[in-house]
Amino acid sequence: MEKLIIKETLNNPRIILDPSKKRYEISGKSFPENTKAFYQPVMDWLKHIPTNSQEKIRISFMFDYISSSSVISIKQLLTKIKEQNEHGADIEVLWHFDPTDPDIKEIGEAYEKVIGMKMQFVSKLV
Amino acid sequence: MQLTLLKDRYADLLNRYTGPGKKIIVSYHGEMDQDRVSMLSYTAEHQLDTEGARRGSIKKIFNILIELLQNVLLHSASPDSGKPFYFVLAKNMEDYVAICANVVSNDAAKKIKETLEQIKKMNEKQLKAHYMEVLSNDQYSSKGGAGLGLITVALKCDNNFTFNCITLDDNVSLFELTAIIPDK
Repeated sequence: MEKLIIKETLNNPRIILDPSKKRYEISGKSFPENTKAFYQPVMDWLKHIPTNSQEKIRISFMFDYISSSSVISIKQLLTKIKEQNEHGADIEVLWHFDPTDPDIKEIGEAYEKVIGMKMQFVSKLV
Repeated sequence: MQLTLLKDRYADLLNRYTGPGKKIIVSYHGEMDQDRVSMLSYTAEHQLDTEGARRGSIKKIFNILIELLQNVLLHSASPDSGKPFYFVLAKNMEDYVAICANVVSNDAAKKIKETLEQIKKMNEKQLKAHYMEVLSNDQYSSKGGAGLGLITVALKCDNNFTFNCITLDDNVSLFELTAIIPDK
């Protein structure tokens, strides 16, 4: 797997998907102009995760804010992760949230329900 | 004609929210692009923080502003003159008022009106159920919104919003939405 790094801007999150360092994170605010185009490289990266590897991959989603159009694109990423797991991959989703802000946790819970995939909820230290 | 109407209404709003108990926090009239979305929402967040707004209110307002401003970016119809819009965030006694207007196609205006009339009839529980229903729907809007944006606005302002659609000519209308967020 290649590594994928996207720098954070005012309206898109930072993406680090780096197999050599075993570091997999998406963090920050998400309201890019074209969410589908922005998340396409992540979608392509997920498609290339080998489904016959024994290695567990833990991807941390650490959002501060998610716009409604990003909500749809991130749902598609999580759906792809679920599909990859059904084909034999071992990907765990860690959904980080700030306990003082109900929004991000609620979106994570909505994804679990809609996609039907268990995620690990991680409360940030405040 | 379109631009004059936008300019006049913007000037009226600035007057309406000036005076005792009222204050303009951020306002803008011009062309929309992605940088404008970031600039206006971050400026609003900073200004609200500076004037001591509650954290919960700031968060709600930030959510509403991004949805309203991105709607302008994604759904404007004004081929001759970019994406003209105006935006006002004001304090009116104990409430914050966010107003955003842009030019949309008449077809889009009809759809937005129908969607908002439907949303307006819902209570919080129904709005949340509707949100889940739209999220479950795999049909993906080519422009990325899929209807969640307006439901998000309604949820964040406890359905306390009004809207106006003014037909400008055979092709386009002015669409204006006002959301009221109490500082609590």
